[in-house]
Amino acid sequence: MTHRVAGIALRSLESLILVVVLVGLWQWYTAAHHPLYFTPPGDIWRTIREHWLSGQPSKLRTAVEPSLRRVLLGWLIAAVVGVAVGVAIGATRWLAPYVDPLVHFLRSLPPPAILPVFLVLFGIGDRMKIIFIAFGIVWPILLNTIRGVRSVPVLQLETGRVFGVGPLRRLFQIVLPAAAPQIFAGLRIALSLALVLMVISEMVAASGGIGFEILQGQAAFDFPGMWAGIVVVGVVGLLLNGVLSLVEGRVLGWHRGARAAAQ
Amino acid sequence: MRDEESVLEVRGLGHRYGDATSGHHAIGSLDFAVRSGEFVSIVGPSGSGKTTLLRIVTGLMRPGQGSVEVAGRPVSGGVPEDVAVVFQDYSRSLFAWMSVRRNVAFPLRNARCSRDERTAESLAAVGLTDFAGRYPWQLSGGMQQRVAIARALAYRPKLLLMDEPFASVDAQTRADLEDLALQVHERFGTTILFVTHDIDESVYLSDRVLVLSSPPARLLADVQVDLPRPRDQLATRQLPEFVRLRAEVAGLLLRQRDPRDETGPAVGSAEEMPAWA
Amino acid sequence: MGVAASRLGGLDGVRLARPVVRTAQGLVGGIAFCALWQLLADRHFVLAVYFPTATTTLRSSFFLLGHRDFWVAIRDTLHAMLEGLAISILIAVPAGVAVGRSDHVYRITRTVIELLRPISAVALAPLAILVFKTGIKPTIFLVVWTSVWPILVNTIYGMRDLDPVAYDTARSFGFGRLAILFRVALPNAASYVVTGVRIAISIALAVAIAGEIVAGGGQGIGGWIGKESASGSLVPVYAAAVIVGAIGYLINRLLELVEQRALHWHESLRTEHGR
Ligand SMILES: Nc1ncnc2c1ncn2[C@@H]1O[C@H](COP(=O)(O)OP(=O)(O)O)[C@@H](O)[C@H]1O
Ligand SMILES: [Mg+2]
Repeated sequence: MTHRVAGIALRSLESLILVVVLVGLWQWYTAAHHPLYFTPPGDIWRTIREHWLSGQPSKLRTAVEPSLRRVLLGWLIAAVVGVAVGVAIGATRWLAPYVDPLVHFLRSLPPPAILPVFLVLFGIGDRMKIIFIAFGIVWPILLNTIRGVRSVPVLQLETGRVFGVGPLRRLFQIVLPAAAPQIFAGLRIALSLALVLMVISEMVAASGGIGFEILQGQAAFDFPGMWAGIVVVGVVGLLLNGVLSLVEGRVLGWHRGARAAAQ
Repeated sequence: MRDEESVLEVRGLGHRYGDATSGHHAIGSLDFAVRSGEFVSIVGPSGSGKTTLLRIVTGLMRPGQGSVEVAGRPVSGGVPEDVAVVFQDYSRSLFAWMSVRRNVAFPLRNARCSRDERTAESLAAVGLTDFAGRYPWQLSGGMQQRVAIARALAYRPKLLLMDEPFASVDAQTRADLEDLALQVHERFGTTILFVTHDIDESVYLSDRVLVLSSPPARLLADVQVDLPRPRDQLATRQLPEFVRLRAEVAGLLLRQRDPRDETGPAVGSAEEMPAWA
Repeated sequence: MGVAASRLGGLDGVRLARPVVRTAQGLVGGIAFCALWQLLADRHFVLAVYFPTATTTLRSSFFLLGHRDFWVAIRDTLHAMLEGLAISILIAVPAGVAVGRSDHVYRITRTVIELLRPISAVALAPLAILVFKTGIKPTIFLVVWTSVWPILVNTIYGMRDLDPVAYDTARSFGFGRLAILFRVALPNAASYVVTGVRIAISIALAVAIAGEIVAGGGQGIGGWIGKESASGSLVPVYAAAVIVGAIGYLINRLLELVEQRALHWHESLRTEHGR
């Protein structure tokens, strides 16, 4: 028992030690040499505490909240559209050779290249950012859903038909669960892409948001502010990925088990 | 042979994959009927369209020629309500994301009767009550096939089709599953059409064995099996009648391999060769 | 596949080669898309300069191909992207091998990797400008930052995913540690590295352009688009997007081919590990 506890403690120590060492090195170097653009971690933390976590109004409200809203709404819209259209395309087999190249082309379109279009068509508000994010990230979700739906074993679909199960239940109980591992892979790629697009859209056109704060910090020579924004972007990404992994773990628990059993 | 009680009637059934020149003529012409409560096996060389036949009966595909009636209603296009299937490939016909219980309950959504009760009853019938909460991939191959059987039972089909259901389990499990099939037949009075390429198995289980020729398949013989029931793995297989029937069916199939025979090439491939060869 | 394919394939009794049929079908899909676009744009929901028709856009794309400025911009963007990728590979592959080889190093570095990975590249753009000033360098830095992670993570995974039986077999033949590394572990990891590179490339172009927009000082496609869109008409933006999309499409397709080659032997065993 004590052995196990000691083992766990040792391993968590092991996994944290490099973080501590790196942060320590950074602190020591910046404190000793005062490089212009690199802020000591202590200062970054103080900035985060004083301006992001508290303050009137705190940037948690003025920056993190709008950014999160944009990312989540854009991602949700892309998820719904991508999965719905992906299922439709994936299930219509004869359509494949007609739409596949088109979808691959649209996926290859770098979203930042058409950012001006979104700016002009939808203005500089939240609506533009959400639509831009959704449009930019829908492709990996769409592609993965198509792939997932196409790889549902025929035998499983036929099992549904033989037992007289209607199309709606076949969709929700067979097609979507069977394609879920691929769909989740798409959702994960889309999430990290959404963060990139969120930041760039806020840098190009915004009066609030984490991306705006980072750029603002740089322009105003407020380097602790800039670093605080970078750290916050990382934390937001970490949290969103973590939540998605949790959901994925619950929804796809069977998949991991089945894969492990197959090996 | 056609009478009121027929659960399945197959008339003039033929099927060819692909076009006339390069395609594969799987089924030449088949006529047979299965009466209510019968246990009928189909044996035949691989490629003789046994799976094709079952797919036609379940309405998953349309035949090239001929017609099929299940419980007096023609199977055309749609999937008939009264048919359930146990596929050979249990690992893929079960849903990995559903527990054993939910897999078994899967066909029951539209049924009026109490779902839970029927699920429990089916699971008990195959001896898996204690495994209801597990997932299929946590079970052995034989147990997975039991789940597939329970699922088919829960559906209460008039006709249960089984396509080489025990071909990929070990010998001991196979014997157990054969006895399970017999039990189910006895207890629920289910009509069963059982495809296999194991001659022993076909004789051991059935009331009749339909022997198919190599493709294009036709009916070589309809062998009546009048072995006493209940059957027993050791006692039944030692009966002189069992040995005679087995030899008869084997002889029919072996003659298929005679090079002078004009019906076609040798039976199946090496790994598909039945145990007696 | 399906009905339409076989009908096309058997046109006039001539059996057309499969790739030809496929290409034709893809073109049909593309043309249908353009027709829809044309119809929508012709209704003038928005000003034509903001939402031009497909024909206007494609004609404009065609003219762009003759523009020297545009080609210079493309060259700069591809340069940033490729140099960034090359640097990422040089960093991430050796690092991944080193980390993946030892459980100890893996456990020690894992947290740092997991903490740094979610920092999206564009967030670092303002810092990149400060450190690397103007020109192509900030953009290259952003591409490197984005590309390093998928390559690193896939390489680590490839190193750790070595079948213990393969390892034991090699040892039973008396291979030393170094021989096992070069003759067993690295070949095993190679296909994972390729997958990592493919994932990296599929985002690198977007990040390169994003970098040029916020930190590029007017260089590359990002800079070019910025200048053009300031002029009031979006037609050149649409036209450029079509060409850039086509370039991205070719790159992605080429990579998929390479990957298929590299992976054909264990297609079913792998999973992709994040971006
Ligand atoms: N979808 C198909 N397309 C073309 N040929 C097929 C198809 N399905 C089966 N066949 C051919 O028909 C033959 C009979 O198949 P099958 O019904 O599976 O035979 P069995 O189950 O008796 O082994 C096979 O040898 C195969 O070559
Ligand atoms: Mg078969």
